[in-house]
Amino acid sequence: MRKLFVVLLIAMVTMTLAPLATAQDEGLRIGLVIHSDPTRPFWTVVHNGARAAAERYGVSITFQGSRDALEQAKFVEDLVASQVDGIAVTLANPDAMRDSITLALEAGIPVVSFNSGSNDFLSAGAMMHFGQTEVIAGEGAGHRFSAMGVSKVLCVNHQSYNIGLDERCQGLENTFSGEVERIDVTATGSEDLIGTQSTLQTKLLSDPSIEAILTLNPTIAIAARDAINLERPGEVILGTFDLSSEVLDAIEAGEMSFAIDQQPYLQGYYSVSALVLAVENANTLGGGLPVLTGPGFVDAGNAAAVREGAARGTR
Amino acid sequence: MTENGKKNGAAPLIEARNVTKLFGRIIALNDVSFDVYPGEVTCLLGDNGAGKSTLIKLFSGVYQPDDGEILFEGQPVQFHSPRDARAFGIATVYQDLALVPMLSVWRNFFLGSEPEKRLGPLRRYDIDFAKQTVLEEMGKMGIDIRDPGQEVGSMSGGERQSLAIARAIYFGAKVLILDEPTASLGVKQSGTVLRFVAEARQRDIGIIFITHNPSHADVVGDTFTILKRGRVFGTWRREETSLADLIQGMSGQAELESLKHEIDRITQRSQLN
Amino acid sequence: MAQMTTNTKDERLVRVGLLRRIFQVPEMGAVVGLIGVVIIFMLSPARENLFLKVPIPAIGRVLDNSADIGVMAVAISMLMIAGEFDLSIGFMTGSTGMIVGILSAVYGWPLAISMPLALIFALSVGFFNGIMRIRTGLPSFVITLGTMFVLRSANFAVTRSVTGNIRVPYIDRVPGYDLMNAIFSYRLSIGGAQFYITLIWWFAFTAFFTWFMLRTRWGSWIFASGGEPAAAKSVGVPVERVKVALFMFVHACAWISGMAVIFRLRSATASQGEFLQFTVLVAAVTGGNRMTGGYGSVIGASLGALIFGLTKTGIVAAFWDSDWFFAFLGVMLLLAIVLNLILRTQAEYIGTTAMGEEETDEEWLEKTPVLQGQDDGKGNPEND
Repeated sequence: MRKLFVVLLIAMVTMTLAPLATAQDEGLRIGLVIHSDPTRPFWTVVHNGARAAAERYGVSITFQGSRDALEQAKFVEDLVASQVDGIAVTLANPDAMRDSITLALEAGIPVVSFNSGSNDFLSAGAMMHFGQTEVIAGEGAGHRFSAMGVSKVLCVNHQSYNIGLDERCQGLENTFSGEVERIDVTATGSEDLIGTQSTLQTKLLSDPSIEAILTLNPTIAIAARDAINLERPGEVILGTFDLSSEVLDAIEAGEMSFAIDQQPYLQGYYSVSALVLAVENANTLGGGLPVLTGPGFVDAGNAAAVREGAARGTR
Repeated sequence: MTENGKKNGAAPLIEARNVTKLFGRIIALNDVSFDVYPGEVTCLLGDNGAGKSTLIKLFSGVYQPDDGEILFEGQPVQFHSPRDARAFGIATVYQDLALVPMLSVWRNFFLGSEPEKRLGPLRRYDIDFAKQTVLEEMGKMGIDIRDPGQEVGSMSGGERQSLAIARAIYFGAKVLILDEPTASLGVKQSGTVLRFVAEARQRDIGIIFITHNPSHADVVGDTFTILKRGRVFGTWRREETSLADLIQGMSGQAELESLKHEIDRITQRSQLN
Repeated sequence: MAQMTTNTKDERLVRVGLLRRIFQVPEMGAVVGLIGVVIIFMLSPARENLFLKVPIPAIGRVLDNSADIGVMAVAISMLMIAGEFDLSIGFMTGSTGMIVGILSAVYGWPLAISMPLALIFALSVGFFNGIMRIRTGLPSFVITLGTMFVLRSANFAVTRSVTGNIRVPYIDRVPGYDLMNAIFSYRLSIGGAQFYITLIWWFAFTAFFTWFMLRTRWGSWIFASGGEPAAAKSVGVPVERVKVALFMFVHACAWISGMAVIFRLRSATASQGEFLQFTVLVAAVTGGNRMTGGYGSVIGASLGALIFGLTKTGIVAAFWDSDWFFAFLGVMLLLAIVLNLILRTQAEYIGTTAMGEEETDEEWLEKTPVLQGQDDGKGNPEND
């Protein structure tokens, strides 16, 4: 028992001193706070982008986050008390963050946002936003499908209550030259891929006029690819939002035409860069509008390069 | 002080008259008569399975007799639950002692019957009274507690038994049933308990002392009843018997003798072969 | 000779008694932990030590990071002392917030109705948990795990189906908001530091319930129900009623927490509560409370919450990698458990009898599980 105690104590002391080895001691201090668990794969790419920028500018960063809105707000208040030089937040819940952002501004700390909140960032108090607006990304997909000469696209929504996803299909409708039909697979979603796939198969069979499918998530994209391969192989063009390694495989194999990447690496990278420039040079980017990191299209042309980036953790 | 109550012609405090108790087809008690007088210790002896536990459970209200009756202070009574028996002043101290080891002596003593003081709308535990009382009650029984705040778990087995007994007495026990109080105690600790039992006797309490240790019984008993397989093997006053008799009565001497003969015969046979 | 022996006995008792008392204090583990964490962060050569540079805002942050855990830790420690646990209180904070959000911000019902309704809901779930525990005999951990999953799904499902989204904003537009904000989430700014009223709730709870546990009969009942429920029942303690009441109490505290969150953030989120369920447990256990019951302390749980708040504030301010945070917490929790176990065993090691009798070597040996390697599995020496 005593030995266990001593072992644990040593572990604790080691953990206290170890971070010092990686501590960045120079320059400005910038904090990023997200609305999710920082260890999830998508966010590690954002973190990598932030780190890269920090190294280039010689600043130190911290990357915190929580799915709990109150905790996210508290992290920001912690950073304000600790007198950081700049703060970047995601605004999945702008109301929840408003007070803490106000505190930062009152303390003279510039705040930018990224990833979520492209519609609300100004009213929340952030001066810049780095991310993808869903509508514009959807419009990009619309242009793309139009250019391919497609006449009807099926837009597959897997979370019908999610306003952001809704906006993606909306964007598609805005710019696509032909007809857009929406299909709701919320009931099965990403949890029951077999169910989703089967719904799509049924749809493809019953409606031969569908020439393309747009999915809003890489997992659903794979279900769609399988549905197409079973029902109408080679006849339906597939595009999706967001990347995964299976999506890259499908693109390289010719089963998928393109993926729309919001480029999370850039969200982290430019949040940090913009804050440094704001502090050191009073610069702002965007002119009050969000700075768009997407849609970045990944297709057969750049899939290989992107795959290398994914392996490095930068895409 | 009515020590040796029976001697002085007092009536029995509690009495079982010709009681029988069945569990399905098993006859746990068969036509058993047993009584306890105030200011006396009645030892209930017998092997495991003899029926001692069943008999005291009739007195403490856990079971009801299938035949015969139970009388308390001369009146026939029926105990439908342990609460009923307790209401009459029959306190049972079981082997698990109903003590909470991690709590202090004084909290254990008053658990379930806490003394209170009012503090405006709030009711406060009158802790000073509790501590004082514990010191006094244990003191009256000849044991000096230095620190009533000590945990019961840190007390020895003998002290815990004594505490349980002192508690029962304080809360008005007229009949005290002790179920194998010295069963797992060493010599010195058993001594503590037996001293306590003797003190309790001084206060007119009728004590039923269950044990299968005839030596302990011999130290404090006024009356001895041996149960064998659900029947009363015999009841003797102190003057009528001796420790040796008790041991023999309990040991099943006759059975041992015949067993010895059997074994001798077998070994002789094998020797011849 | 008797007199001489008494004198030496008394002296020895006094000396041993004090040492033993110190070790026996259930909060000792948490106090040691707190001192340890303070030292670690004070010495941490982070470039700018928050606590030295801006002590008042630092205190404000530490208190804010401790307070909502603290309120629930007080409640859960009492439940743990009674030998039970409730995993669903975390998400209950979300459920209560969502009920008020939907009824008042979406449907326009007055707060005077939606808030009591949310409280009734919380009490009912607590009652349900308690009754299930009593009736089925299943461990409370298992039962409340089930309740937790139900609440978690319901929080999302109900919100989605009513609002089409997973959060409900504009709670500050509800009439009566200002009063409720003042009661549950008022913020005071002093010298650049922010202090929330939640810390007053926390301190008040700690003070009141410490008194409650130590100075009223119900405190004895709670300890007894957790330590030896059978023994307690046999002397008339209504063990079952005590437990059900505690389950309901814990959920009422979750309601208070839930209200504090929605009034502070001015919105209700369906995901609210994930963070609290385990951090509250960490705080309670760090403070010396055990899952097995019968032993523990309300102050300990509050100290545990403080340690947590201190750790979190320190880590963020020192710009440590967020990955280290959970590793640090895990090790700290283990340390706390082990430390508490050692201290407790130590307390018994230095024991003496209540009667002040000199123990024979035999008796002393009987009582020392460390030497004998025996205990009843709960860390208690097995006495005879």
